[in-house]
Amino acid sequence: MIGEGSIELAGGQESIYQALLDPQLLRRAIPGCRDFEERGDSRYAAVMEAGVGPIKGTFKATVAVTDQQPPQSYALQVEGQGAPGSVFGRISISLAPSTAGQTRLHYVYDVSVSGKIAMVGQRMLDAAAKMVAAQFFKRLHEELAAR
Amino acid sequence: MKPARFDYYLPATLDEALDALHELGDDVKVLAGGQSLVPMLNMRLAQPAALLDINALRELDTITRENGALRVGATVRQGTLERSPEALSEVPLLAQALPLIGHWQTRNRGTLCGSLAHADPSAELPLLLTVLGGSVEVRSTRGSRTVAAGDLFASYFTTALEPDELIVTANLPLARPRRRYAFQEFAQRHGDFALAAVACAVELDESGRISHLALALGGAGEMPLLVETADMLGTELTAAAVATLAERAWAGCDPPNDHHASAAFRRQLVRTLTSRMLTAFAQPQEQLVR
Amino acid sequence: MIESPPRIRPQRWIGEAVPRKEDPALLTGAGRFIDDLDPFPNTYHAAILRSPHAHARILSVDAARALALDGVKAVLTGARVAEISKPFHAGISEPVHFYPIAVGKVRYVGEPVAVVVARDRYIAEDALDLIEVEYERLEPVVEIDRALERDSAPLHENVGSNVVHERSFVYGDVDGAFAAAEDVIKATFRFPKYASTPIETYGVIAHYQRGTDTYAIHANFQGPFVLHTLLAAALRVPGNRVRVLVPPDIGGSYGIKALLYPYMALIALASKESGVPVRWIEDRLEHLCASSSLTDRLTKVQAAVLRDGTVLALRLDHVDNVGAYVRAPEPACLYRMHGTSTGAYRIPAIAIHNRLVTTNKLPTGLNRGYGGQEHYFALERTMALIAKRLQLDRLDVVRRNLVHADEFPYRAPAGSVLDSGDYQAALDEALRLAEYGKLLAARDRARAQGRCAGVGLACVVEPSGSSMGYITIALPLEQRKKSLPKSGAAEAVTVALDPTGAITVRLGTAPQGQGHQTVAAQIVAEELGVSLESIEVIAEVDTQTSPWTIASGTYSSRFAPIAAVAVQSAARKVAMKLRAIAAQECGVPADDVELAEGLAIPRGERAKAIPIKRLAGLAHWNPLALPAGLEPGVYETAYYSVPILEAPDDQDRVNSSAVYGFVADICLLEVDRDTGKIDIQRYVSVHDTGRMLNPLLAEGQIRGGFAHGLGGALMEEIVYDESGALLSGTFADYLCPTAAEIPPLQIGHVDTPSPFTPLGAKGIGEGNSMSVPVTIANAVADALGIDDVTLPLTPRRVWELAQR
Repeated sequence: MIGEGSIELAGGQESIYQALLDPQLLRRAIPGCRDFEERGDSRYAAVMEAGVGPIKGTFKATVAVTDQQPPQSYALQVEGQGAPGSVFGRISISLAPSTAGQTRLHYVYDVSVSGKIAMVGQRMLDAAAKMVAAQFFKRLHEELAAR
Repeated sequence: MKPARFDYYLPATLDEALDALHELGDDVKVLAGGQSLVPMLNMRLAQPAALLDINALRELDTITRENGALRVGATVRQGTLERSPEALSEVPLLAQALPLIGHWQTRNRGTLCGSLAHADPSAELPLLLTVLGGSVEVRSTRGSRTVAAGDLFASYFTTALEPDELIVTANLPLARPRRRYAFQEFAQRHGDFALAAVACAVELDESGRISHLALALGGAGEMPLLVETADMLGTELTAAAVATLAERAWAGCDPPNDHHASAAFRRQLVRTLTSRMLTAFAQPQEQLVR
Repeated sequence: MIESPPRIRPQRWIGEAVPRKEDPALLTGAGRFIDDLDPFPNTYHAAILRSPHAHARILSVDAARALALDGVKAVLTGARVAEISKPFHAGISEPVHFYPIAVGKVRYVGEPVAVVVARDRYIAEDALDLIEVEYERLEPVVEIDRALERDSAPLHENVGSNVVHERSFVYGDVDGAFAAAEDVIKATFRFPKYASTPIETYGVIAHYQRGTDTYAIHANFQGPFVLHTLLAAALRVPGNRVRVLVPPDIGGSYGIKALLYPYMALIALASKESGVPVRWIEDRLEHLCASSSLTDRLTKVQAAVLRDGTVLALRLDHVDNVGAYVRAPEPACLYRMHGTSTGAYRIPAIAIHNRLVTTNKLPTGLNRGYGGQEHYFALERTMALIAKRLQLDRLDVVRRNLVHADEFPYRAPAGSVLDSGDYQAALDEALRLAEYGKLLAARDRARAQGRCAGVGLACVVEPSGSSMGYITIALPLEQRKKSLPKSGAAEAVTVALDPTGAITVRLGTAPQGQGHQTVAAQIVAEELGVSLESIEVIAEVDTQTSPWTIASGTYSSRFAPIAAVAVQSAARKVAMKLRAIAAQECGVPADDVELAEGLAIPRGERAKAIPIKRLAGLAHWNPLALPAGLEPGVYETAYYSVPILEAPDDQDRVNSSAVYGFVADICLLEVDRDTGKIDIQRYVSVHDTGRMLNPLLAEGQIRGGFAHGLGGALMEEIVYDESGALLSGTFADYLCPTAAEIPPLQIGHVDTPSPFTPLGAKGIGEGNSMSVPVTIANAVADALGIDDVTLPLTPRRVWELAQR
């Protein structure tokens, strides 16, 4: 699944870049995230419950932050596995100054889903990806606004 | 293809059901017809801690007429509606939409309210409720409320209901004398999930000008989408107007991408269906063949 | 004993439209399928943990939590399977090791990783969720083009390449023909991967008997029973310790249940490991991801032609994608049509370059039409392209190249001996039924009105009764010479009369709904002069007690050309015995005794007629009264093989099938440019079935083949994304035509009985599976005025084609 989107965030580019790498903030922003631990070397271990409608699955995931270009861009390499299948892919995030005090975040995801969830959940996957992305950035926006 | 373990509740009364929903929290699923839920249970995609089976609630198995609406209870089967001449004549759009839902066998179990609660953006009944401007009555131990179609669907497979709320009745507005209705979908096989669906309700006044126009799209985004038509009121449904609306439908939808159909193809289908449907309405009435 | 005066009225049963003997049980829910059987007490249930990854190394499998679950008996992993069994053999030189479970690596989504044996299926599935597997993902190789590249990650490191087989063949003066050609048409074709979807999925109930080190395996297996030999070898026991029992009824197969054998081994091993009998009934999710499919294929064609449309020679370059492993009987898909590569045409020279690649997809195997739909898609599209390029009438090009009626038997350059036919007459019949002139006018009228209409045509030779030798063409001559030559295609049948004269026929064919019991009863009734009702036909196979051969089973439409003859031979043995006994009793020569109306009747002496049941009684009760040289009892087994099926010769020529039918298809369709919807308005199919054994069954086979072909043409595809994830895992995503999607089919016949078999019948189950995909593709190409058509022609694809 490939998708992209943009969102306006309140705050300067530098501070937002830093905030985006804050495990506490990420834990709160990632939908269904139950655990988010830093494992050093820009790697994190997460447990998250993801789903759409009645379909839910718990995934154990590792997230690695790569290609860091502060304060412009970085990428997240995600690898998750759960009973319904596995998820792996890359999310590229870039920041650019926007109107006064605002920063524009652009994201591109290229995520592969494999196993049972891909086999039987085809109709829902595109929707699930869009929902998770939208929820994540909405919460991010709220978290940043609350700072 | 065997479900994970779950607790099973079979309440005998609506109050018992609402109490159970209240107590069970958010990890419970309501079982009505089960035509969407049971396959997901069997595939273990859904693993709720509990199932609340409402099939014993006789009080919800009723079809009545009240306040200009057909009131359809939560355990009324789609097949029952399909075989009810009264229901089909009072809400003529049902006659067009119901046969498109799955197959005879699934309609004999599946319920109208269950389909609304499931909120599949490609499903026929949420689209029907949306284009008719219907509503649902929702109950919980906290009381009852009416939720309009436009507020019911929150996102993909997600309604605006709270976990302890149960849809008890769907209200489908009755047909109006001059209003005409159409429902069309494009599916690869009969009974498949629609790649795109379009429904409309049109009323033209004596001078042929639009006095009511509701146009809704299914399979086109997070939920059934209503196309903006307010500016068309009082104008004629000309070929140019049809083209404008078809373009609006095309531009306004955000359909999914999967191996059956690209988003671009689905948008094209939305445009084609819209255009063909409205063109039929633009013809003089006597030429219409239902 | 004679209750009424006999009147000889010879009853003809063969060729009659007799209703199926099988139907009363099936239609009243009294069939006995694999999951209806309960052969062993205390049988446990298996569930299979399957790979979520297309290509990954298995770093660890931890089943401790699963084993701790109450009700779980055992967990079998790939590492253990490798210790207690051997990989299955396949007919290529390269060492592609195939076990029934992933060993060390997973190579496709859905590949078995562990088997849980538990008290019931619910617990078994609960336990699956508790097994922890650590994987290291590897580069997925999904498409043929990637597999051909040298740097693609090899699925089988010991082979070192994803090209696991390559052979070239030249028959006739191909270079000379291309030098003499006035034009050369070149085209590339891709054929998609699709499958069979029987209502009943796979099922196995296996019991390892420790005391005797034997396996009893009940399975809805369709043969070929050569796979029994491979199964025994993999289980490391002689064949007589693997008792395979096929249930009385099988709920469809269309080829796919041949590939049940790896699961037969897996569940047998699970029984051995757990010490209890084990039942595994495949669910639909498993079936759609991990049973079998046909190959997807890349074909490049060059045709050397004259300006008048004569085809002088073909060069075919095939790349067949067998998925993750080469599972026997692969590479048969690539070689089934080999001898018949020139199709229905008298093309004197052909060069064939064959490659087999492995990719991270479901492994392949038999599928109705096996190899035919891939082959004819390229050949019949090419014939259409030749006509278009040379601006000739499509019919003229076909007619100019078809084998003539007076050329049969026709030896094709690659070896097939086309036994009989009148292809021109069959095509003419199709044109007549289709009212071809009106059809073209309807197309042109639609076009004039701005609609998009097209006419498609295809002529295919339908081989039936595969030779056991054709697969050995995959091996180079020197390697082939090292083992026994393989020829023929035998089947075995027993006909027995008990002391009351009741007749039992025992087949080794393991039918899956074809109606073998009905046809066998027709043949026996006709040979013995008895009623259909007096005959019981047992189709359940037991490898310990049934007659069978290495070729037994139901595949390659072999019942009509081969098994039916074995039925006839066994019945004739019985008839000879009955007539010999009657002859002695009546004092007439055996040649003068006729069997009719349940009686043995001396010619011209009806009053002396003896009921068959009395003759049977005599053979059982009074052996001393039998004519000299006759054995007691009436129990006759006949083995029949087709004499013309010789082993491949030193020039790599092989007659791959016993007999060859023919199908001529014509189709008119319209395409909705805005929605991509195809509306098939007319479809005519004319068949050469040789001698027809039962018109009702023949029609059923044709309609079934048509539906399957239609699925391949319009909707069926096993879809993987670029990461190798399977996307078509349910019937909402893998679409098959249902009754509502199948347009009317008009069937015609121009039948030419085969001179090479006693009955002259030809198989008929697969012709339309081969012909329909390309016929519809030709019609869509005609409608849209395009050359490049890819299947399946889903609305989305047609819409995209129409936008070009």
